Amino acid sequence: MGKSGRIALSGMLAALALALSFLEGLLPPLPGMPPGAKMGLSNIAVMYAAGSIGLPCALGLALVKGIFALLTRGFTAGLMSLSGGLVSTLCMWLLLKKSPASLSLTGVCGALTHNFAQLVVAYWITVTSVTLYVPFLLIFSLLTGILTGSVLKLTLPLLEKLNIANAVQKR
Amino acid sequence: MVKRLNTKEVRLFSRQEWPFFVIIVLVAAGIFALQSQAPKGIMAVVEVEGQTTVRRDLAQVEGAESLPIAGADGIALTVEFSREGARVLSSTCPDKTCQRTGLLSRAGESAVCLPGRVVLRLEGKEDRSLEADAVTG
Repeated sequence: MGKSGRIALSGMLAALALALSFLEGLLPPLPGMPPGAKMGLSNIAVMYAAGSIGLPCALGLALVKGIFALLTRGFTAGLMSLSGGLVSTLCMWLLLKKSPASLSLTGVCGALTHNFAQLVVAYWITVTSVTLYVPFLLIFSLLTGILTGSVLKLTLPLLEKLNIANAVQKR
Repeated sequence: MVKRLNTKEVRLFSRQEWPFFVIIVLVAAGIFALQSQAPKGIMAVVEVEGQTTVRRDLAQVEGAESLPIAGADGIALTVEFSREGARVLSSTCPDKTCQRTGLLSRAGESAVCLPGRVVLRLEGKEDRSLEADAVTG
């Protein structure tokens, strides 16, 4: 699989990430959570990209997600999505590629960095107190991180059967 | 160390990582405990012609609560309190400055209706004791 194959795979993953964020948007807001708290399902696609294709592709996915949020939900949401997405992508890539971290740890750290980058941006945009949400975000990141890690663990064997990642890697 | 993301090389959980998860839970519990101990929330104060007429602890407000305020010169205001803060919903005065101030959410913020001589401001609970000291001293 050459360059075109990698571009096609990145495009498919981007579509998957967008579909997952849309699906997430359909779920009812969670009680007790800050407005806009999401499960981070689209992080599964980003995590897979960071682990098996490479950092540029994964950062590209985060960028696409950010632009999608910008177009569909406005400037604030776009900025929040972009900041969280880029920081957490970098974190997950480091953990997957440069450390022996397990998938759940990677998912949890990805969720934590995503949430805290967003918290910083939220604090910067509005001046309202956001620290009240910190404990909820910590627990929530733990749960959703383990969830995304588990989903990726379950889907990995299927993806390996398709042999896409190997073809990209062997290139 | 460069490794590939595949089922053989990546595990879902690792025994050495459990302490990290436990630490997250402990930190969350710790911060939550600190937050619930700290003097919660903010007091919303309404003053008409220099006299405090309403004091509401915003942490104890359920949902949104609106309250009519009669200002000077027959100017009527509606003030809304909620957990997020307080604001002037409407005013019969012509300039509507207080209404345009929007939601007040932090201690020290205020919305002022000059024609009605009404001040809506937020103060932290600790500010109240300072104020009391200032009055007695």
